[in-house]
Amino acid sequence: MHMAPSKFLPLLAALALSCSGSVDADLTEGPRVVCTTAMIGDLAREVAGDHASVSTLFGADMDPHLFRPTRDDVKLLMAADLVLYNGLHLEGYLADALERVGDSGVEVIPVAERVLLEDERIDSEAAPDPHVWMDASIWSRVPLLIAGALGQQRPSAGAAFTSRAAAIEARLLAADEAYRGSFGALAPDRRMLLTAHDAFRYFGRRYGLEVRGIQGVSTTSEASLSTIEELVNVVVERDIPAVFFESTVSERNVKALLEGARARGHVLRIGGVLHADAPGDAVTYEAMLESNVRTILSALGAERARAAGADVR
Amino acid sequence: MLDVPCWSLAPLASASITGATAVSVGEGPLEAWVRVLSFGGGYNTNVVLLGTILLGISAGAVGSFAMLKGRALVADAVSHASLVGVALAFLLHAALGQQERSMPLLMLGAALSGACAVVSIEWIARNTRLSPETAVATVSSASFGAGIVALSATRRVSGADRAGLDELIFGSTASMTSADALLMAVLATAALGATLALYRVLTAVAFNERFARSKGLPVQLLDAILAALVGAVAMAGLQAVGMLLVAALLVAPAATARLWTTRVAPMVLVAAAAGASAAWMGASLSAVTPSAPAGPLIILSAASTFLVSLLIAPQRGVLSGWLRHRRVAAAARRVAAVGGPRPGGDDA
Amino acid sequence: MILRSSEARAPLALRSLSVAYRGVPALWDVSWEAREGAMTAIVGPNGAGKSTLLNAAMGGLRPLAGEAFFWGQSFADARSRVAYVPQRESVDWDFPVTALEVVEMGAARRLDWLLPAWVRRGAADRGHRREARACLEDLGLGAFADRPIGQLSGGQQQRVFLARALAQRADLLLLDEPFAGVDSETEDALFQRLRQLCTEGTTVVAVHHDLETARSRFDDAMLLAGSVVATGPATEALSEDNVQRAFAPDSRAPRQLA
Repeated sequence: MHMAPSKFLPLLAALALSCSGSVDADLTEGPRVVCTTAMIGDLAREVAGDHASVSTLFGADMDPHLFRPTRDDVKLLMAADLVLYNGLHLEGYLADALERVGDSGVEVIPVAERVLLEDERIDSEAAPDPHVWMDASIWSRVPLLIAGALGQQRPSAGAAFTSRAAAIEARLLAADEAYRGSFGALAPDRRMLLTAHDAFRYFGRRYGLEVRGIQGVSTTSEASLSTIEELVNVVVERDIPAVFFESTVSERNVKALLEGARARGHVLRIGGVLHADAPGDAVTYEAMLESNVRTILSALGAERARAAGADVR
Repeated sequence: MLDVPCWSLAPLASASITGATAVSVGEGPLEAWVRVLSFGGGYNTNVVLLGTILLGISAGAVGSFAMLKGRALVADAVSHASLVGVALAFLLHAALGQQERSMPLLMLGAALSGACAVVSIEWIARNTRLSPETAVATVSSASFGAGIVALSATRRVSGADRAGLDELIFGSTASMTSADALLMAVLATAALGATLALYRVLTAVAFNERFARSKGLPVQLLDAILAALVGAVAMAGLQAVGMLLVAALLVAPAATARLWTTRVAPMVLVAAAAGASAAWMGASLSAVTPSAPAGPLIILSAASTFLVSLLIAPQRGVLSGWLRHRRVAAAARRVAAVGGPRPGGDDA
Repeated sequence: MILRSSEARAPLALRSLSVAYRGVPALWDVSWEAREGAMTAIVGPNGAGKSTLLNAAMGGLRPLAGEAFFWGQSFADARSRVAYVPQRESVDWDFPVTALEVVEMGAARRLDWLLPAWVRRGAADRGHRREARACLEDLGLGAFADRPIGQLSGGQQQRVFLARALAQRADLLLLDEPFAGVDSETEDALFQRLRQLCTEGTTVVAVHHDLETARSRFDDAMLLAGSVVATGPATEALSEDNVQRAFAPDSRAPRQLA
């Protein structure tokens, strides 16, 4: 969990009402880049190095579906040279502001939309699924996209951007391979991921898990009673061992599901806390993925091992 | 948060262990709804039904007296103020360095600020030239604005989204747990108990305050008790149906009851029943309709009950009035045609 | 607190009572004593502070200065001997109560309030109900006991209010415009009943709107226009001169405090 440096800082920031998220601005020169999510900002910072200053609008445990910009946020966006956002309606309340920013001449790039190939897009019934970063293989294309955009802003550092981006891409692809391997080892009947909201479709498709969320693709929609009942049925019928909290979403829905399952005599464990929409205390994008994978594997894998009667360390 | 052992909810659980679901295969929507209405749905559905029915009972009883005092819209002000209290409690909690959300603290904030709203409305109504309606409207809008500002302030605080404060605007009925239902039960007992025990004094004060004071009744204390009850209902309702709708639950059942009764005690009971039935119908409907939010359905149910009552209630209903009008008009026309003696009328 | 002997005996004695609403005086330096067993009218132009006087005397308003004594005691101590009949418009007559229930509010003693009737089916409760019914019958409303008050005419509503006051068995009746908007038959009946009460020793003080009937039907009168213009026997206090002075536009209490 993100810890404030002192007790009074959150209150002060809140009361001043001029806080605009945990904006970490590098004070180097070069083009000003503003990113929305930390998943983008983290990569952008690494690609940019000292040649551009990168700031991230959303705090480490802020829900991007619910983020409403203040005047200060818009000013920050307007003053940027390059704006990188996710797109696919993730930053729902920022849409108008981003349009105005784009019209004012700032380069605005919807990163997730850009790196997706036509046939890779996942849409739910209600809306497109924006959680593209969950698939490390697709997200590995982001660093080079950023490098290209930065290169246009500052051609002199183009080579540096590109080489750093390539390095990140390699790391992400390697991690992706490792995750595929780990999940591949899970027994087929253990491959069900049940979370607070429907943020893991890309993850599930890539790493071979079936995914269900209590809330839909966006946390702005209220969970419905029929969905909770249906999921309780699924949990019981398919003997699902664990459900996961998320760091940016209230625990209320998951707790209701837990109670429903327990009433049916089914032992449903809390698998842990996943970082779905923001890195939380994992801080970086890669650490976020790593943490999620470990949490999921230990919750689902351990059950399998226990069920098989093997020793669990 | 209270952790209720599952065995205490055995009756509810037993319905669900058999595998009863919200919508079974091969069942029509109407049959599914009837089954849910008779508590044959799943565990979660039954918890939601029970919790919201109990809330409806409390809201009906307490709302009746607010309405009798001519303060029906106080419910609006209270629910808006509750949001301010929750947001401030959250900020205070964060400022003290706590990271985990503390539900009891948030609800305490809601109850206190709700009660404050009621007290300030009374103060304005009594000590300024503003009419009570103006007082309610002022406090209501002011606290709505304050609530939105306070909520915005919380957004940037670490842990705010996880605390789920946003859910308090529209409610998160579907995710009611047994602990919530228990809270509703306690509240309903307190609300019904207090209103039925004190209904004579509350009635006297609501009817004619100056006279009640002259008889030595502790008017201010009674106002405070009613304020506390309204605050408590608003606080419980925040999680169940959300800030925007809890006011409706305090007003609509009471208004419905007024159409059907001519005495206070029956009115309170009918209002409680109306609140309960609104919850019963609304929550069960949401269980069998995919993607249907329970809170708004409960309010719709309460509102339609009111509309129907407005039409068909004997004596005070629109239809009844219209029929009376026709009868009297016909009689008048007959008399005018014949020129005979006046028809026997009421003695009033 | 040193009281003059007349103050100690008077059913209602006001001493230098001044009341203001947010800086605007409504009553100014009012001193007056009610005569025991007499029917007194408080008369004056609109906004002269008549209702305020009753309200302040009963402790509903905090006065700027002065006090009110009821047989030398404070209102709180003398409460059980005083019955108040408020203005008819001050009540929502659509309220879901019956005439009997309204009168029962008068009959109830201190602790009766706490539990509803269906819990305490005791003798005391039945006694109060009988008493309430008797008071209604006394004023000719026996048949209307179980009617919702919204179904009653203006005159009948006023009678219910008086019945409630009767049920309190008070020695002092304070009435606020009891004859406003009431038919003449009811007016006669009410006057008759009040006169009867006075004969039995009850003191009646009524804020009254009509000069003529004040002169003809009341024993005493107090002419009030913010401050006291005249008091005494009705025909004297309400002489033409006095009345002209009271109803003149500049006769009010001082508009501004020093």
